Amino acid sequence: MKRRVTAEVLMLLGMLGVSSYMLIESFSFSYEAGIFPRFAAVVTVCGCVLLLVREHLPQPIQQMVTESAGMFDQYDEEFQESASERESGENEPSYSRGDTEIDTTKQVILVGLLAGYGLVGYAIGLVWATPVFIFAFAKLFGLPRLVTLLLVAVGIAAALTFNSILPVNMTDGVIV
Amino acid sequence: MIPESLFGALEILFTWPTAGWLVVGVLAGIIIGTIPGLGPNLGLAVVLPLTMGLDGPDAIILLISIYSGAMYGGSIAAILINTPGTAAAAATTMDGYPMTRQGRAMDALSISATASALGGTFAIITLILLTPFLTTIVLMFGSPEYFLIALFGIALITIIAQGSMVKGLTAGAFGLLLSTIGFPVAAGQPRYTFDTFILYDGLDFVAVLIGIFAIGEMIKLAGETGSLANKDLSLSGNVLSGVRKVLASPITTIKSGYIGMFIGAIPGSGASISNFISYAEAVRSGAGETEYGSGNHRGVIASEASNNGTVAGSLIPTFSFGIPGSGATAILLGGLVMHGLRPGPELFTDNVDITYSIFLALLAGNVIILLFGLLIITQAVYITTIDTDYIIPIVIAIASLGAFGLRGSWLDVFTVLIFGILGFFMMRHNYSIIAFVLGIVLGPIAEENLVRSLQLSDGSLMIFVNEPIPLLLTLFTVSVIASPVITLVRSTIRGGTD
Repeated sequence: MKRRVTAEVLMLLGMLGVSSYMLIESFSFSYEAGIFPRFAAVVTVCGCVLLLVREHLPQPIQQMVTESAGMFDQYDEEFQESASERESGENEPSYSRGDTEIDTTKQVILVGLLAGYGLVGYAIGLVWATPVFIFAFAKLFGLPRLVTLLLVAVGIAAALTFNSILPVNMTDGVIV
Repeated sequence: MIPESLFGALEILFTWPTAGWLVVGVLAGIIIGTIPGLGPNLGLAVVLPLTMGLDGPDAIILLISIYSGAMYGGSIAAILINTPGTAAAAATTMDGYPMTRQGRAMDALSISATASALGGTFAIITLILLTPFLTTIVLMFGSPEYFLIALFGIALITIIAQGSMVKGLTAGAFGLLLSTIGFPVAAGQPRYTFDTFILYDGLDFVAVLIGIFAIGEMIKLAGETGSLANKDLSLSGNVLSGVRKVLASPITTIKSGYIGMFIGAIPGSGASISNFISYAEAVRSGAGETEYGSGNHRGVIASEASNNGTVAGSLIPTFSFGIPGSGATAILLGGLVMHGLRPGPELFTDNVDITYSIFLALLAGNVIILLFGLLIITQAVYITTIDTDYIIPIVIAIASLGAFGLRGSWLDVFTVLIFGILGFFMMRHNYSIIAFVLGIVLGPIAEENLVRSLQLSDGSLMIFVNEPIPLLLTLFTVSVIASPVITLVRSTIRGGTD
């Protein structure tokens, strides 16, 4: 539970950092160019700050920050309930996989693979990076050899199809 | 006059090879729409040069059929893997994907095909009958009205965002903020570009959508094991039960088709907006009835009927004034001009047969969508039984390749990957993805027309209330914003007294 809160706090701090920078920067623009981002940045900064300190707010304000203000309270409650059930996988909702537990290690591995896919693609071109990404994914996720070969073949076919249909060059990266 | 033109149009449409191009266009559109990152804009842009060798009517019918097919095709990936093939199907994920998770994917796909076909059919028949009146209405819209329509869409965050309103508004405002990156048309000064040319065009919202919906969902699925559908559940539902559900919801279907048509008729307000507005209206009118967002079939009907209705609506400004209603109709406009068909009164006088043949092609296209959707696409339900580990790398690869294909820019690839991670955390902590998407889609439209309106009025805000249409739109927007706030304050006061 503590880890989840930390992840949310990190996300909010990231949004706060980006919006604060954009707010400060907006004052260097002309009035026409600056008014809209300034408005959006102020709302984002206020929202992030409120959400970051919500545990320390007086009860009535905390209630306003955390509770649903939707026009359809009943729906909201049901939606939140089902959404949290979907996320946690703990309460066996009727449509989630009953025996599933969230494996965050796999999620972290995938995020790492995504970063690698982007960087390798940038270096050698997406057409070549795609089978490498799929192969690495299959190895790290323990997929059977035959399935790995099939997925790599599908990936190569998809990459070559995109490359031939679309008016962009996907075979070149900054290195190769 | 109209019946004679219609007979002429039928003659054009149902001769070879025109009828063949219609079928090819719809089927190609469905495939293009299904693949995340392609969508009608990219599909039409790729095909447009290939139509050079065709006759004018054949080329335009091929293009419009691709557009219509792609609108429906976007729902397939939205339902099966929570990845809208197009922005127009974003709202379909809200209930379509939960239906898949419940083992009701066949129902959802059948509903999508039927609602798309019926919504599109109602809209196109109405377009044929009412074109002259709608044209007059569209002419009344200027920058203040466009801004207010976009503002109305942004205000809908308070309805669409579930859970904490502060979370919804923060997500929406963050989306708005990110939409300001680049070189705005109205303000004429680059913003947040770090003096790098690659950021001058800003973030492509389609890349953001691909990242948020496709990559975010894949990261989520990576932490689970098994298939998309609950393996303990049988794949319930069938083709006919989906059709029956749509037929049993005539008001939702017709209303959504017309919402799509109306929004589509307003330049700049395409299906990416209409599917959200239509969905929000379904939620509003169905309050207290059943759970939206958890597999309510009416959510799929609302989104799908509206986006195909939008196709008909978007032709109004395109054909009447040469003003494209969306990116896809901008390419269509290019096709018209390329083949010597000038938008404007000529299309409704000298070339009226061709105009009606295009409208009828949309009608016939809806029949193809219905048949193909019910007989072939519903079988794609078995995709949901495949282990997600087999799907994840392919979806990520296709999403990244499609993102690069948008503009040939690495910015879009990294946008997809970064927003995928952000989307995952937003989903995990119940921040409204839809609010964020609304912000990033509507931001540029709202800003451009706000600046233009203020330039027209010398900075006076009275421009938004001194005419009947802006006044009406302002009242709508204020009421949408005020009602949840009032509800919140009332519940807080009630909670305090309890």
